[in-house]
Amino acid sequence: MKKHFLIPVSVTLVCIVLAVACSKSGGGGGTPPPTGTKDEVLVNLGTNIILPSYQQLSASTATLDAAVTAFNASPSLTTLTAVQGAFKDAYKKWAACSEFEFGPAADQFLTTHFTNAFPTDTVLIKGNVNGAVYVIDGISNFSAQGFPALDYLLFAYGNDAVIARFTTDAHAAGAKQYLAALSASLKTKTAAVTNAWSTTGGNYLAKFINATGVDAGSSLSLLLNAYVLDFDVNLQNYKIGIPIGIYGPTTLPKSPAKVEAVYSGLSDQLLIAQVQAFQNIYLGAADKGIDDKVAATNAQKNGGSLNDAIKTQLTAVLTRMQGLPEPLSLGITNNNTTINDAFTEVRKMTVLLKVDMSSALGIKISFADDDGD
Amino acid sequence: MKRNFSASTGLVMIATLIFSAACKKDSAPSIPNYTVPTTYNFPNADSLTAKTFLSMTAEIEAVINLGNTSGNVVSNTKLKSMFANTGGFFTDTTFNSNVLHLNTSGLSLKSNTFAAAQPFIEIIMDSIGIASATGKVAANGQAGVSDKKTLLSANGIYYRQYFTKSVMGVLIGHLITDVYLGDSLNSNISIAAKQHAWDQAFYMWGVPANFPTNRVGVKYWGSYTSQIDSGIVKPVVNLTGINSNPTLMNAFLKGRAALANNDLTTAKQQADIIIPFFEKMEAAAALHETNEAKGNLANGAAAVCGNLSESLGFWTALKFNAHKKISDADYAAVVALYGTNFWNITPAGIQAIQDKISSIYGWDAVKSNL
Repeated sequence: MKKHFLIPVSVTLVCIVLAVACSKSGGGGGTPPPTGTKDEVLVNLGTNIILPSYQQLSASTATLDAAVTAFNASPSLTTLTAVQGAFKDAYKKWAACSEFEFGPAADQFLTTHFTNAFPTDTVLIKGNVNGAVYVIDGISNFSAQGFPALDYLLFAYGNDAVIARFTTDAHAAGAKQYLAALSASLKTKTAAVTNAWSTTGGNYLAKFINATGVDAGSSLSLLLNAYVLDFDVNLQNYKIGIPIGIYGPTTLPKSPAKVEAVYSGLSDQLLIAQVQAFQNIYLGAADKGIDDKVAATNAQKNGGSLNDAIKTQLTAVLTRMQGLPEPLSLGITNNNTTINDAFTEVRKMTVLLKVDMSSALGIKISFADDDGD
Repeated sequence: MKRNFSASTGLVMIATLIFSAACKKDSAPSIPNYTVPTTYNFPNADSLTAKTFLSMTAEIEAVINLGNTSGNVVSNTKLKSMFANTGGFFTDTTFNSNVLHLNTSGLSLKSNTFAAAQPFIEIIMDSIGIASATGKVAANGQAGVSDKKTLLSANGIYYRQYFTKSVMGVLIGHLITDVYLGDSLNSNISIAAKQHAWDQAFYMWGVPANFPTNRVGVKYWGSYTSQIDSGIVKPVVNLTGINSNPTLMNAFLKGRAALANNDLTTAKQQADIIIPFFEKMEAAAALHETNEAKGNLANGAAAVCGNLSESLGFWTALKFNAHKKISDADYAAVVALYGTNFWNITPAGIQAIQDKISSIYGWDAVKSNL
């Protein structure tokens, strides 16, 4: 065996002056945790908005899963209409939860990546339906799962085609199995997140309420990072920008097929639901919200209060969403200018949230996208 | 296990030097009185053997990396020849103005790899040869090059990372623990030879003499001890992991200062800190890569496969760690959680790996920081 070895070097007999050895420093331990009264904004948002939003999502995905079971047992226009209705309801409930991708949602991977990656991978879905071995929540299956995959299976090419897919098609059994796996996964994950927030479950609500302050790791920081990311990346870039061919300073080919919910044509309603959720969170519904925090900073914008500027812009964005052509994909194909006008308002909103609001509140926005805003 | 250290001519020469007297303070001989430096600057410190091993490893990695470009077929024969240092495939490198003649160094990575792991490394090399010859795009069930420019096996193992992380245990960790700090301290070689063995151990860590103040050029464990302390991207100010950097650095400095002062007892005490710590480092690094995998979920399956391959590599390194304390049942339980195909692992499955490792080692409070 070969020996590893020490390459001899000459040794000089010099007594070196050794540096002082490191000494233990005394004390330390950091600053004591902040104490004081509860943050009423966190109490209200957690108790009256976030937890109920997940409860509604969980209930709606359970309803969807039951409707899928009924449809699979007896595919017909009646059962299909029921499952389509349940799907639309659950999808809109998701639009009111995608803003909370931290804590339990991150822990349970109930994230946009796994729940709402669009455009869905129809090749992968067909392969899975046709008998490929798949794991529904597997890391290589994210683009074939969640709401967009359901959107495809339940709506693509009209009701006759859908019913044929689940009845006369050679792989009808595979389609049923895949549909059931999709809805079951959503049901399971939303139930787990709801339970994790719930006071009778993991009670993340208490942790959320108690993590006050604005440092990284505080609930306000986690919430607003998720909130701004959802607006900037998911709503602005993926739901509108990329389909109309605008990504930051870059102009792309128009891609109407890349809108959210392209098969059901639910794109507009989902955008409206999402903006309403943004508004609801900002205003704290009828109670203390982000608006109270922004107002308390006395931050100014264009000669008025920043809080008023944000509220006005949220209303403007919502109005624009309500005026979008339906279905959105067709509107893009037809160069409907109201979509680009809406996008302009969305971008103004992003700057107000990402730059003005965050700096006024002292929140560091730590996610990075590369669209230049 | 007993390996190594015959008294070469050079060692005899060193052994004859009167070394300790000049540096000793004149206190009681039973309690050596010396100061421990804060950097690894000892007058006769020798790093060249360690640098030779690390350079060879890096050159093998470079050849494996060629397979990450579609169309490049990597020869398993060449890889195995490099592993055994036959065939003259290495390129000489220079370190601190010393030319390292790798091919003629007389050093072989293979013979210095933990014996039971030698065939395991060669199997990886054979697999790389086969996978690189497919010319396919990597997909679930298909070996080839992924969209992330990584050569993956049919079940999603990124070979280059799996090789490197395994080698960090079966070669680097083995040399540090079993050979340089184990056998050498307990053999009857001269104190000077023990000092040089200690130096090789330190430099196999892959850090500069003034680490962690200076982290330029850290590699292999030199990078990972920071990553599992508090993440590589931020300055190591607040240690939030398992404190590897200070644990290793303090022990290496104290042990080497002890050897410089003929204090073998203290040196052995420091070796007894470092040797078992490698189990923690391997497990913590395996866990760390599950955090990386979670963070990479949005970047697609191939990216996640890469992190999981690193994680599995570290966990495989632990398998060949002769000093591990983990039970066979616990070890096997984690292996089972990795599953048989990374393409099909779920995020919850990745979390399960992390949770199991954390629970075995009692790291629940720090697992998200590792």
